[in-house]
Amino acid sequence: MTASHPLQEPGISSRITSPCILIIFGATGDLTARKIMPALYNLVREGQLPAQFASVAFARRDKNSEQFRCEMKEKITAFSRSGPLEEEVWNTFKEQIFYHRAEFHDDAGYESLKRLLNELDAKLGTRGNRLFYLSTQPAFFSLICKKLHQHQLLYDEAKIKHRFSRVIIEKPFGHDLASALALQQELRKFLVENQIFRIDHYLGKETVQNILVFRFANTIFEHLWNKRYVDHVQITVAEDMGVGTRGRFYEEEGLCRDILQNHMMQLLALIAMDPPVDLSSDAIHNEKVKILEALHFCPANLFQQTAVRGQYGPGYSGGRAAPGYREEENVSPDSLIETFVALRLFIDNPRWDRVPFYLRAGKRLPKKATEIAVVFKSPPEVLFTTPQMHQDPNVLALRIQPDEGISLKTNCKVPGPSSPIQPVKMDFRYSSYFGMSAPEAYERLICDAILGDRTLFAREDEVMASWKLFTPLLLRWQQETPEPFPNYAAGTWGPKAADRLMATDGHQWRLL
Amino acid sequence: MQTGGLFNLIIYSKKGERGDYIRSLANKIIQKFPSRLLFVLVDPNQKPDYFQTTVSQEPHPGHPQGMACDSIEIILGESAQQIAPLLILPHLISDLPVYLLWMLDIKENSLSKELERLAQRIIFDSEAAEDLPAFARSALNHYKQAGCAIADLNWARMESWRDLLASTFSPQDQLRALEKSKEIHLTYNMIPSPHLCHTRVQAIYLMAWLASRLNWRFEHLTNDRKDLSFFYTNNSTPVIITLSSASCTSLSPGTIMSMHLTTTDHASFTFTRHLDFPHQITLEITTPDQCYLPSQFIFAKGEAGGSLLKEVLHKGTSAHFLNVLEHISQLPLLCPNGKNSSSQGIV
Repeated sequence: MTASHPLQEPGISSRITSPCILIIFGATGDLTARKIMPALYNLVREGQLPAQFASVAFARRDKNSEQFRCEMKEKITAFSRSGPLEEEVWNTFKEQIFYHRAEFHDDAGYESLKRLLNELDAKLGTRGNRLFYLSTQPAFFSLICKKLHQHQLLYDEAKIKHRFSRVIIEKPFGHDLASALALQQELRKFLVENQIFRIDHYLGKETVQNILVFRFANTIFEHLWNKRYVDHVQITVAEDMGVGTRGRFYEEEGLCRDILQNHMMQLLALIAMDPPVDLSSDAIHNEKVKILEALHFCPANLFQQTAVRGQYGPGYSGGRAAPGYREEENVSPDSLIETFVALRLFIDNPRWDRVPFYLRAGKRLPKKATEIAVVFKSPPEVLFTTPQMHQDPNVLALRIQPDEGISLKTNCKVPGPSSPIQPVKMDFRYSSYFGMSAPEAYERLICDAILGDRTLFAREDEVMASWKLFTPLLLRWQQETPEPFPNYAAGTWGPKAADRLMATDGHQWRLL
Repeated sequence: MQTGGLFNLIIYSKKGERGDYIRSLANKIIQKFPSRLLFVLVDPNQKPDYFQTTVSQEPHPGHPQGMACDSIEIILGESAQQIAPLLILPHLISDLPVYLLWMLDIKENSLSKELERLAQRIIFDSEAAEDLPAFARSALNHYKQAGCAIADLNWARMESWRDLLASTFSPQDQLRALEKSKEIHLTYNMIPSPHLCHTRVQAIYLMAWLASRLNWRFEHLTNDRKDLSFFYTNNSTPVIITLSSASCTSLSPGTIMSMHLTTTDHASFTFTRHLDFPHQITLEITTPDQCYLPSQFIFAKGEAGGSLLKEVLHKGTSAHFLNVLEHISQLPLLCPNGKNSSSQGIV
């Protein structure tokens, strides 16, 4: 819809999504059951999907639409954020769900898919608009796109303007720089960049979207946001869970590819980028790319001084005994895969020159917490010099999840004549002010993809810049035997070497 | 207990009138968005110069942090209304926006200028208007004079219909179908409640929105026992919009129950609300060449007060809403309750 549509009011009207069919490849997987279908259900419930909408599950398992609907009903009941399933909504939504059994490589399956989609267009008025969601193993991405192209299910954007075909691609986009470039090259044979939506669900989180608002809609922080006032930045993505059912995936990818290369790079880019010239997708991506391209390890390639990897052993989690990584399902008993990473990075630009950015992420840490902490420089010790007047540095912490919010640590005089100084926190909690349950990241991202808005999806150059940074490290780790694994117990904050990484700079990790 | 505040909300009404309804709206708001509530209730049964202020806290049931909201109730005699701003001022939380929900009719420009100056946003309630065109003129005057944003509860209640129509007619060929409208038939629920008796307002708003957005020119209207028909011209092509009342006890008063649109080239669009599942709308589209399967649409599952929440939080004034007010202000006097007692329904 164009801005000049008489029934729509830019900035005021709700966003209007076009009629379309969402086709989910690998629809019998966990992601569809836990995230995609609950997201679609909630979008229907909130009136955010068009009346002319259908979702088609494309998968290999033998079942029919009715069976698939029954399964999805159970899953939505279990995983939807909006509580008990509402029959009124479900009865509408279930009629929009179809199951198509086919193999990813089978041409006949794509031909029958094409017929089904054309029938649905004719019956439901979905107007030929297609959104393909590749929720499959990465190895199938290019094969599926090739088959979609061969069967004319992808439109040539240069020629066809009145309908769209877009592809959402789950992470990981490639395994390293070379494979990411190869995948990109393959995709570009069938799609233009505007049709590719590389999903990073962190970008769909309200708290992540708020980073730009917080930084650029408040005057007081932006001129402190540089090397003059910021001592260092800590970004933590901690999980208290182990790898669970993802053992096979972890054995191939590891934590660095699962979390660092994508989610944490996006967080870092948002926290460090310069203001974009406007809020258009390209303007924001342009600024993020500048940061990602300016990131480097220092000293360059001396990874043992700047990167720490770890793997959890047996320990305790949530008050219960927890197995080590090597005892998890589908994990080799002598696996050398990392489940913890800590890094020190620098950004080679005038704003952040010599300001360290410390990143840590891990599985089976003491708690689930994602946080960005901007630690400011200590004030000069001129006025408050006695030991009882020790001043903590100011810390601005953006809690991404859980307990979403923002806190600012400041120093305060304790009442009384002796005047000791005590750090106190000013704390904003989303749940206190905005009691309603926020939309799930996937709701926002699917809606954006239907609208063709790529702002919250990773652009090609962002992904490549990130792989360019991490590929040498991953290569080195592949070549070198790590210190004996496991090197941290489940339920602790990672290996000792991670603390030493900070200690050499006179810093320490925040206790979350 | 921690008290929270996203904004100050002043609710100005008459004591006793729709009191339960207003309270339930306010409770919905603070459950979602902790805010300071200031009820100003005019009580004609009190002495004219009577005033009384009561301060209390409304706890948040089930709020994880034990949040509470301050609630200030100010009861005023008729002539004490002039001091309302003075009673309100000490209770406003500084630095937070002030929203004014004006639940009285404004045809006599009764809204105090001092109160108006305090507010960043005034939310009117056209339900309180006895004369809708006069209400529209007054609302526009307030907008022009006070310079703050304005909105209306009934306008907010129509949001789902506006979104559905915008979505249905969004592709260019569908928009052309809408532009070729010949007849539109809107049916609304005429069963009133003690809180909502002007049941025709939402249908008039929807009609005025379509007409103003599509630049249709109003010619005249006719009224019979059940139907009110508005005759427009689209360039020189006549368009008739008929508002019909129907009875349904399971739906809220004034709820649009269906909309049927036919075009000059014989396409038809029928939107029908499911009576048992009132958030569900069935859309049937037929053209001379094609007949689509009915499709279902779910209106956002807003609880009572949902429309108010949206109006409280939206910023600015909708240009479409201003167009609607302009359009309605030029219509003949309409009795908004759908039970027009005058012989023609027009004065």
